Amino acid sequence: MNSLSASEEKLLARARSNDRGAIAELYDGYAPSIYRYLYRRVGNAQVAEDLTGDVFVKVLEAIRREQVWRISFRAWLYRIAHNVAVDWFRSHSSDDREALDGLRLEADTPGPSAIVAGAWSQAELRSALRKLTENQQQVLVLRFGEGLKAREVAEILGKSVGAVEALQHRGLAALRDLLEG
Amino acid sequence: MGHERSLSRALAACLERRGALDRSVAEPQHPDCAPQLGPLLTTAAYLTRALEPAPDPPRKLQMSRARLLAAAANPPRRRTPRWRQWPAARLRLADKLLAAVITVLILFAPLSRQMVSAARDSGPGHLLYPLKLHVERVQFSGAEQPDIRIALGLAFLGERVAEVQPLIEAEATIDHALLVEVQQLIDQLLYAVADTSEPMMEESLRYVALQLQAYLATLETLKEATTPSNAGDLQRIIRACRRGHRVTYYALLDLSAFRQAYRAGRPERFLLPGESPLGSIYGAPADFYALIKPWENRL
Repeated sequence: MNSLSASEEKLLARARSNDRGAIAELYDGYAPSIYRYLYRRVGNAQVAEDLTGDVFVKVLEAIRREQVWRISFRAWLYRIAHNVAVDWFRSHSSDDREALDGLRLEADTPGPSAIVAGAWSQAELRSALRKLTENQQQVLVLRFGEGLKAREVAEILGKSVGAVEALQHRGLAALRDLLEG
Repeated sequence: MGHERSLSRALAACLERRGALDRSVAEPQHPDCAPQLGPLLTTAAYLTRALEPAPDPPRKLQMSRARLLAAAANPPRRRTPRWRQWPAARLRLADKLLAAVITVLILFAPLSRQMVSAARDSGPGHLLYPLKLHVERVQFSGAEQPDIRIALGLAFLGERVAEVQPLIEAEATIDHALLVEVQQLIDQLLYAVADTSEPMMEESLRYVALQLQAYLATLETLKEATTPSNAGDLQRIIRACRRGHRVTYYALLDLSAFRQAYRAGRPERFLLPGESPLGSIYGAPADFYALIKPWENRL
């Protein structure tokens, strides 16, 4: 069953008939949040932008195929973004990612706002976050980066709310262990 | 286990209410889990702040927006490989009529055998030539193994090339159906190659590349004998073969991209240098062959 608002439904119907205005509207409405999400996952603006493009091209193809999704449109977008990010991580060697990390951390370091007022720097936190399991990273980025509720995260990941809460708990505990260890 | 679950729930309850990230507020509400809850909430607070800074998306996203709108302006040409569509949807009216003829012929088997045999020897412009092409298509689509399809496709393409020679020598025009047939055979060959198993693909590509190179050499020798009425047609056939040859070359450089594009029935995704994603997939510049000629020797 689709959980789409009436306006989303209309917009998707127009996009299905290849209305470029509707496609642009969908993009303008959702691209910034998908971009931010991908940026938080991959940590590089250029890669995040490319992947955002990939997400929306996949969305366009799915809309054209009249693919039916069983979750809300927004949740479905995040799920595609998640898959795109996972594919990206799989297709890039750890060396490439470390190089990107270096670029990003260098860019992050100078600003005073980039330093968390406390024991750990932003860079340390992000680096530790990257060491968590895929699911833990996903839950923590969606919960604390995107500010989504556990229910919304569960919808995106296709898991129960209980499973998301458990992943959140284990993720935070593992993150703390990594930062303290 | 029970304690871990109640800790997970208490943590979730605190995190659902943003204000509860403050451990001094949250801990009294969950006294049983307070010692473990506090550090986790502190970590969550740090993490929230670490993930806060985000780049300015509207400025950054213009390129991918343009890319999406370009994709929207260019609807997919086809979704399944053409050879798979032959048996049903893509059969043209003429082919459907021929299918009916073949059915009748099967009923009159002895006569039909003679006709098919006669059709095999027919050339472009002959009454039975469409029957010959149709029989070939049925043979090609009926072959289940990709390597057999490749062998058949190359053999049929060789016949098409051989059929061009008498036409040029007779100063006759080349029928449009023959041009289309050559293009389709090359497409199907590439689809068949993409359908081979991973270890076989590279070898198949080299084999098809070498065969196409041989056909191109034959066609090039015919150029001198052309007349103004058939020079353009011959050039089109040569161009189709050159493009097929270039695809094999670039496919050898990036097997996975080739396989993905062709297996998805989206050859336009495997663009060659100089081709535009918004243009025809057959829109390669005519002089590109000269550019890649030095590389061909490496094959």
